[in-house]
Amino acid sequence: MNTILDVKKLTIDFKTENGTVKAVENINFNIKKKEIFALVGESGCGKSTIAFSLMRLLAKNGMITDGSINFNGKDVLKMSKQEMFAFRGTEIGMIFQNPLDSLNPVMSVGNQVSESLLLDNISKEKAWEEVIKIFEDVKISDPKERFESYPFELSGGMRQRVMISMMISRKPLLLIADEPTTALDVTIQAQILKVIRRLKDDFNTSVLLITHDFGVVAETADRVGVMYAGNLVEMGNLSDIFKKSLHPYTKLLMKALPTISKKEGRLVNIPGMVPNLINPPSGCRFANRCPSAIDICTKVSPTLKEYSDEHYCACHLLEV
Amino acid sequence: MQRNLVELRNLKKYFSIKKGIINKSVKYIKAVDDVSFNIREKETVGLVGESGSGKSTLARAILKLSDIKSDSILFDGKDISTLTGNDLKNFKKNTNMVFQDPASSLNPRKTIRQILRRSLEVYKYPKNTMNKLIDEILLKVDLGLDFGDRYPGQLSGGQQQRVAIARSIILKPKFIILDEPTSALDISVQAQILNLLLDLQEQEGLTYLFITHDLNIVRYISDRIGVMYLGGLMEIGPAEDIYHNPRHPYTRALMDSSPIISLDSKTRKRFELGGEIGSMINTPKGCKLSRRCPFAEEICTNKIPKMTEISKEHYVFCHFVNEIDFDLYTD
Amino acid sequence: MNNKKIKKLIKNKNFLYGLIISLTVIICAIFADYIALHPYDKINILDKLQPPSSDYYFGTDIYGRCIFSRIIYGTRIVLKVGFIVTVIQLIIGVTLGLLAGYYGRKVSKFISFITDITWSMPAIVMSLAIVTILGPSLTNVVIAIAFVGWAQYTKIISAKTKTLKNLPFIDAARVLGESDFNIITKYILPNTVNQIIILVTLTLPRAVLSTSALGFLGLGAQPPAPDWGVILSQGVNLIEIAPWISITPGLSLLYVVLGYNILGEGLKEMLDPKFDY
Repeated sequence: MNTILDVKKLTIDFKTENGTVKAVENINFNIKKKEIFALVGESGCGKSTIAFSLMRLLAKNGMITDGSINFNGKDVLKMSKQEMFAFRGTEIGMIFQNPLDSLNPVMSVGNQVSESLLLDNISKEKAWEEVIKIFEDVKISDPKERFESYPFELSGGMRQRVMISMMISRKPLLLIADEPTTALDVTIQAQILKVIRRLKDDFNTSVLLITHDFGVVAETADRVGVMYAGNLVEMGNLSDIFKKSLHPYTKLLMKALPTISKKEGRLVNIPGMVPNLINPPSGCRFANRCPSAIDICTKVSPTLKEYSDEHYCACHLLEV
Repeated sequence: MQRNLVELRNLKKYFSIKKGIINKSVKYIKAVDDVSFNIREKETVGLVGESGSGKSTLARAILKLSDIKSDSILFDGKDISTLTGNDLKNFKKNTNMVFQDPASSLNPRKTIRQILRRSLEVYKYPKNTMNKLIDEILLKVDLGLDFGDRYPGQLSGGQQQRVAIARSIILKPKFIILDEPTSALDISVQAQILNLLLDLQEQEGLTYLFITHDLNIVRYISDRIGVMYLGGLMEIGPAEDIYHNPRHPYTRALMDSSPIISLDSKTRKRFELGGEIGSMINTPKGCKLSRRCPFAEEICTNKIPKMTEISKEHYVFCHFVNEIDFDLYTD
Repeated sequence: MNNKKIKKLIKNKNFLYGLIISLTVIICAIFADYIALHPYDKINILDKLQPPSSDYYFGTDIYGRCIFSRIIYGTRIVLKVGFIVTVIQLIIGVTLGLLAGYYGRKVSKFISFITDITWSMPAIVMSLAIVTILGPSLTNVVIAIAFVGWAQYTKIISAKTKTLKNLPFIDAARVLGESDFNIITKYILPNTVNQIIILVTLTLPRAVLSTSALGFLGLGAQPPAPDWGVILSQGVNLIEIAPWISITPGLSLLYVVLGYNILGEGLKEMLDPKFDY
């Protein structure tokens, strides 16, 4: 079987004192072996929410109200607490934007990475060797010295490499990376993305990359899912999204990205604002900003359909 | 060619950190180390660099948010370190800044209208003109007049940044520094803000110093681009020149590391620098990049490179700029 | 700010009950002449040491004075002291806190030095010492408590000021050309209001308790003033035959201090985080 993650009809709500936020609606996507799948969208689109739901780590007021998450043949939503504990960190790993928040400040980074290895009942020496090897694989310089370093002694890029080491030490099938390079400088970002790119071939680890940056997508992803206001509006490979985009939102976003000089033209404005997800509008959530919206757009929510080999789009205009 | 509005002459800004009680040795963070360039009237100079490059320190120095030596910064021909009285007032009125985090750049306890009014009050505008001016400026930045009575916390990031921009232009200044104004904003909002800034520049005849780490944005908005690393200026020149023909190894590495939205982004050949961004405390005596540069030789470690003009207005600070072959280290 | 906020405030039980309690105290103080049954200093030896009755709700003391009336009139002392102490502490403490936080280095070190000295002294001992030197009177009690308590304002406000000072909106004010004085008063001070409110709700009940403690020791308001601490102390030796003399002021103190405390809790919960960095 080639698919390791299969998400169907995923719908997530959050209860707040102002009402119920319909954060994520009817999400359908899958991730295959040895693949980097990027979930891209602007803030509030729900991409991080989906990532947390895959590990069942939603905030207390979050509920998965519909849909299924199937990981490597297992139904994630039906797992018991013990099963989830065993599941997290071994088959699925996650790294975040700010590694300093995820690392224990009073423990050397080498020991932190060995901690998870020692759960497999191997000797301390063997664990040390493994950690040094992983450090070398993610190109941490002077791995033996770095083993003894504390997180505060390391730069942002180094910390992120340590996080990646920690996560891949158990050889997970999937690594979720939530904005892993947003807080890093450009040259360091390039280095980290290189490490992430190699994960699928060198470690057999697929990656779910959450980002708002299309440049990062271009640098790493095999396939892309574009999200808007809690909906997955388009999905395909890089060529589909960048060159042959079908959804009006994707098309506008491509033109809003700075890839030219001001003499060559102006970036396109997407007028209006993201709708309030407590009372989302009926029909397509992008309709009020869409330059080509037609009558049915405000009445019926479009569903994701396949238009060419693995290129999906949820838009009524394509049906007309 | 327009005249120079801002001139930086060998600008240095060091911060001292005292170490030890016994030896009392003083170490310096050389946040800005001998930087010289000019900003002409009505042009946009983009300043790029990573953490520790000194670009924010430079910006703060230009606006007198920190002290600097005399004769390092000239505004409109005058040394800003000696300004007093009306000259100082004029300087403040003619310069302004837009910050990276729009939310914390606005007083959370005041309404938008009150924030904008404060600027007018400080310069003693007649009270009966204030409301009209505020209305005009709100419309100029595409905010409805009803935004005037709201508090910053009730606005989105993009709207807050528009207010910050409104505040920066309400006194009709000549020069505005924009310090990563769109870094905290979404892509669609970013486009709106960048376009607004371009429109305002045309309408009001503004001069911009645009600081960013994003090479695509800086290329879109700038006439000239300057590249900084660890407090030093590495290269400066016309935007398209820098973008298409970066000649300093640092600039080249920066360009090649920058994610581009294209199908061959993953597989393109890149010139990379080894190691991490250096510390600002122990910077090398010579070229700031000497410890990481594959082309570095002894002279690079010991002597600060002089400026070489490689094409019209395109200057590079590198000893070997004309001999470097990037292909040797491109993978 | 608007109706939504007011509704939210009222929904908060702490705030609501605290407010009600505080209001009853204020009403007693203002309308004491109408609420009290007798003048607080009316001596009636024939009625001395009467237990609570319909003539004397809280009974009488050894001079036949109506305890209830004394307690009602006593609210004026409670409020006066609480208010004056808080205002003095606030003015001194906030001003020094703003200066220490804004100017850093030498100014900050100097102010911190003084603050730490007063803060490290045990409050009651200090107040005792001051009142002993100045002589027992309500005014001197106020001075003593105010002197001992301003330090906490300074510490908290200077910490908050230090945080605010580095935010971009302060830089924006400097770029605009605002003077230091204007930055401190127009930009920083308004943003410390939340902290000040919380401090006030903390110091108010403490001031009331401290006054009563000093009154109990005979160092505060002098007889025949109906200071609750004084009333309490007068009943201590008679606790077996006339417990109401000490119990009623004790319960009244509990009532007021609890009221102020839960009002403070309510305010703390309600303070809008959007306005706080």
